[in-house]
Amino acid sequence: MKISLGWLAQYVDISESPEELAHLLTMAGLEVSAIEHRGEGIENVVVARILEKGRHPNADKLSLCKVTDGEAEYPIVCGATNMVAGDMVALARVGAVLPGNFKIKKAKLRGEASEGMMCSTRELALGESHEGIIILPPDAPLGTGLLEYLGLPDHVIEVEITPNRPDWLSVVGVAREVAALTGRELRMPIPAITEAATATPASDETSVRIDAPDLCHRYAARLIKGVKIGPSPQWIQQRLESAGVRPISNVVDVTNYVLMELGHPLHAFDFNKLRGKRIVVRRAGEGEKFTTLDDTERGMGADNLMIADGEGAVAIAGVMGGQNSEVSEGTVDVLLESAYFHPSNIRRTGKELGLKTEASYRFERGADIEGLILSLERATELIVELAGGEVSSGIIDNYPTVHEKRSVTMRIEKAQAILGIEVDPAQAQGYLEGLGLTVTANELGRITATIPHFRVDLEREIDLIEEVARLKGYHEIPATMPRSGAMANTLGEAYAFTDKVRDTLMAAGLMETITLSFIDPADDDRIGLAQDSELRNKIEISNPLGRETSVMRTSLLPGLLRSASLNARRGNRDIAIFEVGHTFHPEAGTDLPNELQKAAGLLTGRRAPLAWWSDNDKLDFFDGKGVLESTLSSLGIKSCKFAPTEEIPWLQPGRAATFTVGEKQLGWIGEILPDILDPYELGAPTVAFSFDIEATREVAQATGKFGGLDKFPPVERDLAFVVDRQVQSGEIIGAITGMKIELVRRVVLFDAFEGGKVPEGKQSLAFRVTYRSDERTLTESEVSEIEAQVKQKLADSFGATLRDA
Amino acid sequence: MIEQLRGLKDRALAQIDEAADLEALTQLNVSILGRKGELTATLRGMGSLSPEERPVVGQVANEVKTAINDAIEARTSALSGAEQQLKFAREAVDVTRPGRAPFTANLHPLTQVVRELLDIFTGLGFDIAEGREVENEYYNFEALNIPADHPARDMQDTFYVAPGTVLRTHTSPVQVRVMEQTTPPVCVVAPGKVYRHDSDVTHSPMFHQVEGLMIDEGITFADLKGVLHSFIHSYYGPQTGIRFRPSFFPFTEPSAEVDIQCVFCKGAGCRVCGRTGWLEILGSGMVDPAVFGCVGYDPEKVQGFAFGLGVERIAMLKYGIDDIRLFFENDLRFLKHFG
Ligand SMILES: [Zn+2]
Repeated sequence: MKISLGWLAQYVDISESPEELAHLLTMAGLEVSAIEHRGEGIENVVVARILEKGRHPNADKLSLCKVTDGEAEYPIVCGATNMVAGDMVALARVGAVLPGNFKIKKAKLRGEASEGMMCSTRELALGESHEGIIILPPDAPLGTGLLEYLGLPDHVIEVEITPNRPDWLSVVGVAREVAALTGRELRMPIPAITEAATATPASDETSVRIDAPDLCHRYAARLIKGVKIGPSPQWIQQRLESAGVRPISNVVDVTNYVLMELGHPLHAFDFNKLRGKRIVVRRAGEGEKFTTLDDTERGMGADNLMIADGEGAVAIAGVMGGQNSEVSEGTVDVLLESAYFHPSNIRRTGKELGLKTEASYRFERGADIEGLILSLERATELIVELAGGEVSSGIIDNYPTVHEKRSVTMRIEKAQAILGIEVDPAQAQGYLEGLGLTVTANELGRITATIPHFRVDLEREIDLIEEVARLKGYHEIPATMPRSGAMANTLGEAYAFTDKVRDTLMAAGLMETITLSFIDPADDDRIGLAQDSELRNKIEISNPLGRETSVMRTSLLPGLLRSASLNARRGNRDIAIFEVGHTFHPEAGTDLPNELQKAAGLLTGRRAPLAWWSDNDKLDFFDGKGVLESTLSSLGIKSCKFAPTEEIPWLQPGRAATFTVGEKQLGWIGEILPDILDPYELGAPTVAFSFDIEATREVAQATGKFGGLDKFPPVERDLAFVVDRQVQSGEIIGAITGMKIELVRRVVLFDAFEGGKVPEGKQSLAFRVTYRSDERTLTESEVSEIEAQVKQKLADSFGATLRDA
Repeated sequence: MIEQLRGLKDRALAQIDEAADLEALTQLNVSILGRKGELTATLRGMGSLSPEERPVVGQVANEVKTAINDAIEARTSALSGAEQQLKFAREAVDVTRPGRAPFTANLHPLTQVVRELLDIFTGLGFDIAEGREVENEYYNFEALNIPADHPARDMQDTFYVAPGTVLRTHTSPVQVRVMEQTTPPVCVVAPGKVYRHDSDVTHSPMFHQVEGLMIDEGITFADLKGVLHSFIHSYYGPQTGIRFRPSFFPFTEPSAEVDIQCVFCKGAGCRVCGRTGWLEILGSGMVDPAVFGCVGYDPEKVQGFAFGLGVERIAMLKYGIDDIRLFFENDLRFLKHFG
């Protein structure tokens, strides 16, 4: 909210500079986010009169005026159309430098001399309006500086008001805070109203009936007859502009002015448009249609509160008025509303209609039910002052749901316990009284405060403790270290494991990426998911930012492909990345999905960086698998089994595997199908893998006790076989280890090839077998005997033929 | 005989001196000192000498042998040094070439910042807790004293996935879940992803928070200040100015925003800090009694504080990044910068 300091000073003395005041308020919780200077650069702008207005001989859209400032006459070419001869205007004379460093010089415009400029509010940085030049009232004193005439220069501070403090949403509300912080006096406006003695009392001419007292706790009104609608004087327009509100006409401007001044929303009806000349506050009928001021027809629900006249709705209570009862140029009699509506009901209505107004913003935070009469009277006073008319005698005040004043007790000892400082009871009492609370203290260290209606946020002891801390100043509270002992670090184990996953993948050369958890539903098709795939079942966002971010991912792969694709498109085709994060899997019977912590990686491009020592090989399946295996090994997975799979739709059959520990499947790895890569502009081979971190943690083994170094030397023998191409080397190693020969300690595949001397459809595999005993040095013949058994087993199981080494 | 020996010596020394390589030296060694060599052949004539002459000739022979031996050794060492030098020259490399190294990588800058923060807080005795990202509205709002239809809901634009189910808008639901499952004392930090319906250069619909919670008997607002002072001085340096100013969060009271002296202008005022000299880096406060009520803690027995920081904001300030979207686009050139 924007607050003019000139306006603020009307209610409280201000001796601080704008910057000092901003600091004072910020440190009291009323954060000042900007300070604006109004009226800078308009020193050489004066009140002037248009003597003549004629057409520009060479341009249809321009006029040629003769303007005087009382000293001289100036020819001025002007593009605006809203003025006539005789109007008072704001004239920037030659030599003026307007905001934005805009210099006014003598000029020739389309062949005609122009000496000065008639300005709009925007050109003077006094408002947003650029629809025409400023037309000042006829009585504006000719030749006076505009600054002087408008009461400028002024400073405007922009304050960020937290939702708990609706009482700050006005100039007087902020003045009250300044008064409390500085101990100065608050000068409330005191409306002076003369009711017309001769006129009929308001209650004879109109009535207010509240059919929904649960939603409308109070409704007060004034009747003002015989007003003349017209523009407001400049001082009101300037203040509205300083608050960012566009001036419209005197009566409407007054309601907005009082809204900004006192914070209470008012509404003015054209009394003669009210059918039956009365007000009924009631719930909307289901499906009721209503056209608001902004020319929009809206469908209402049964819980929306309406203001109606004798026949139908004339306003949505607390939100927006209707076209049918709007104050307009021809309005003569005005019914002014000042009411209290239920906060959460107004909020719901505003949400349902997608309509947020200055009025609803305040009502939903909580209006001042006792202060609404002051606002009504203040507006009545100003309407009579600005638009004339007579005030019918008597306020109509229907107050069915009275709010009792709350009283809240604060224990000094609790305040001390919360804040960690000594709290002096007298000082605390002083702070609370400064805020307008009525306070009594007793000897037991209890302070009881009666809360004024405008402080909707003060309900509990802790609320008063906060006020004491706030007014004392947080800087007065020391910084101490808690005596509390540290917690046993147990919750963090899962986190540490996940962090280790990140470290190992990084150490293997993969860059960590982070992508948005919501993805495009079309990603399912992009990765070739079957129509009935489990992974298509996703958590959908009801109000997504866009379709591309509308479902929660069930796999990290689409994000990795997207990141890789972005890099490839930007010319980087050597990519090795990973991501760690949640995937979201809907579960029957609950809206909460099963969230799995996963890690996934993707590699494509060169195997090694471009360098004098590297060749141009592209990486493939085994590069990815190497990364994966070293990662799993570091995580404590010592016996992971890989098996070929054809079940994963985005992987190329024959270059795809799942991996398991015992019965538990941890994840998958493989080369992505070229058809899937194409749209991402990624080349084959591209390897990807994924595993479930929590499942991995469950089967990971902690590092065990050290058993000592081997005491007896090992014997190493090589075995080379030719077997069918389809035979997986893992099966052969499995067969050897499956023989459970105690002395066979290790089998390593150290060579594999096909072609050359190896017959078509076959492959040559060479293994190094390590034999070792814990009790003795093995003899050659012992080893040879075991080796023979192994050879026999492989010949039997795989038709392996021994190859000459 | 003595003449013969001296002649042999002179000839041999001259030949050794002229030997071009180690090969030639080896041959000389054999042809002079070997079993069938010249010296042996000459000494064979010793048998015809008189007993008086023999020791004299023997001594000369020994001198000759030693001299030749020494000469061969000296020459060998000279020649082998030269040869090694040649070998080294042949094997010299271009030491300015880069070494053999695989692709290198690093952690995402946000992960790095989260780690830095967690390292400090775990050092202060906090345990790490995590929670779900799709959350019940109850845990995200109601249990944190943010009722439905309350304007405080406007502070966080929310993604819904079903009525009553949201993408968590902050890491605070972790607080509630931890308190539900633990009896005080509680001392945890909760890092994680959060979601808000917002997107521009400084707002991402997904971002990261680190939230802290400390509950025990007698924990005070002064302790909150102490812990956060300690954190800020560890992270930003012991000279960093700090200020606490009143604010509002539904789940804490009293609440405070914490500003640090602007790291760019050192408090003088600049564009980044909006000329205030201060940067807002975290929100905090004493846990509201209403929250204790929801988790079954007695606010007359225990008290505590909570605080939360935005990881992206801290990283953006630290590295001078002005577009938050860079974090989630994953351009490798951007990510490598943090290696
Ligand atoms: Zn700065």
